[in-house]
Amino acid sequence: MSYLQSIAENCGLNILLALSVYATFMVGQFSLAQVGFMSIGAYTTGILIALYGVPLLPSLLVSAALCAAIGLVVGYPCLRIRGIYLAMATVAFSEVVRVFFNNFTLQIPVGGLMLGPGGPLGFRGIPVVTKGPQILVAVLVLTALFAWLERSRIGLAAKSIREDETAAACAGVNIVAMKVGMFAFGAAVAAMAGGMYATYVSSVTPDNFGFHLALISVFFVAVGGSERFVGPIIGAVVLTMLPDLLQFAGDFRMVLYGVIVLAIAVAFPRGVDGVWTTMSHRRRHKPAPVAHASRP
Amino acid sequence: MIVVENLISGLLFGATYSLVAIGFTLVFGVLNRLNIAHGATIMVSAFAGAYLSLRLGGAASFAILALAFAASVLTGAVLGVVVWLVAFAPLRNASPLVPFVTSAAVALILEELFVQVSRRVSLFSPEFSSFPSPLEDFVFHVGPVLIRGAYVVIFVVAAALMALLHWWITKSSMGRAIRAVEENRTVSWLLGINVTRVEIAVFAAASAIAGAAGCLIGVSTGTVGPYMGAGLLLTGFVIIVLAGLGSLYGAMICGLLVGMIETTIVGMVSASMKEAVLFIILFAVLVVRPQGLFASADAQRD
Repeated sequence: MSYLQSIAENCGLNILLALSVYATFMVGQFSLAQVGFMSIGAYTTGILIALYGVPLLPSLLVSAALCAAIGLVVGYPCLRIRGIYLAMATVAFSEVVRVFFNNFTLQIPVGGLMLGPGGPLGFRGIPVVTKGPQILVAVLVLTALFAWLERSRIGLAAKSIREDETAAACAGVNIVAMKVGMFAFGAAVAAMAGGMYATYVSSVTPDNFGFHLALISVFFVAVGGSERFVGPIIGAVVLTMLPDLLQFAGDFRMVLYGVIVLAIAVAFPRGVDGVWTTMSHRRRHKPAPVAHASRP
Repeated sequence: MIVVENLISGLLFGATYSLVAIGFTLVFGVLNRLNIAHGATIMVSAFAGAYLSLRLGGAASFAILALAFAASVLTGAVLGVVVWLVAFAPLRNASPLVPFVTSAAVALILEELFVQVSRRVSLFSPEFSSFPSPLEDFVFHVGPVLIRGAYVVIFVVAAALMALLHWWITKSSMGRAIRAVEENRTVSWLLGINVTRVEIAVFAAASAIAGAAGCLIGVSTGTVGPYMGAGLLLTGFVIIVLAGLGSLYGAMICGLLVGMIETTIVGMVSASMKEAVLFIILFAVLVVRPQGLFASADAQRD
């Protein structure tokens, strides 16, 4: 039971990360910055809880607010960069964050021990205050939020920007506000994902949030589907469970994992959920049947 | 004096970075896509060269070193075509970000595969396998400055490769076809150029050069490891953005530049700051001058 439970909990955390990446996808921005924000969120929450005894929810909210602010500052210059250039700029951001925490040391005596971020050694001894119930609540709240967002005017505006930015601007959508706003929103969600992750595993290092995790976060959206908010959730669940389903392959588990991700990405470029949306689109827009004289 | 030594070794080692960047930018120039598996290609080719060197006793012989080099180049070329076949060819019509994901998946596959390979093959060891060569202890002095002979050899080989590439691109008919496709894919196709063949040639050439880079880096550091590709990929990002995506000669020059920046920072400040500085440069260039230092006007091609 607890084995399944830990898989479910990991799925939950990955869903949060996947949704944070999806937030920027909604406005057509391919961003790998979310792992950087996850890192900042993890460290900030860890510091607040471990060193200053702040409870979980306020710590998460403070981390989210901090990352939203940083997201605004970083997102604004990113407005004029698109596509692959934006991907690289966001990679650069996440790497700078990683190097920052590799050099960041803050040790404070707490209850007789020196606790705090220790540079490359990471941040150990974070109290484990996030468990199944907290993750479940977070996932439910964020799923509801994204479901609402998807159907709201904001979601409509976001998707219009993704489809055709110029046309959206002509239709009166405030491109700057939407893009920077969604970037900051994604940052806030990533921060909460990071904070919950840090308080779940109790010890984090800067390398936990590196390029490797950035690619995996994009895999969630690419494999699951980039059209609707359900896509990243599916992707996160499938890819979290996949390594455990591949136990039979032994040491070559992760090789097979990569092969499966590759196969899905090649066969379904729009993701698993993309297949559903394409099919339902086709069903709704079937051409009218030709009238046959011999029809009964 | 330390500064001069740093600059010189940075310049010389930067030639390998140039080779890494050239392959990367060549693919981008022709396909308008980033090959995330480029770093992994370098790593696999480096392993191929290391294997030959370890198996045949490369510590003492230049001939074996040359053979290892050839093996790396060949491995790179073959792997490049495989990557094209698997991650890029089927996705010609999808959005440019899907090949990012598929090539990243290939990179993951190769990395994990070689983590296992380096554990199971007795000549290798799990963290870092060695790449023996006769160049290891080769140092000489120019006045008061100490220069590692290995770096000089590497620089010469890399420069020769870049000259070869320049000749191929400017003088051969395939090179002309490549330049045509880089400029305008559709019109080139209309004019009868077999764009698919050009793509394959570019991938093969870019990855062959990557293989050469892998061998040279392995020889100069004396080690190869399954994770060496990831760091090189990120350095490659910095170089090609600084140069301007698609600019071949810019990549050559900026590779040397980044090599010098890197060794200077490592020597004068600290090893971990070098990454931060490079990535801040990357971000700044993308925000302020996305077309890079050397490219022509098209930085918004999307």
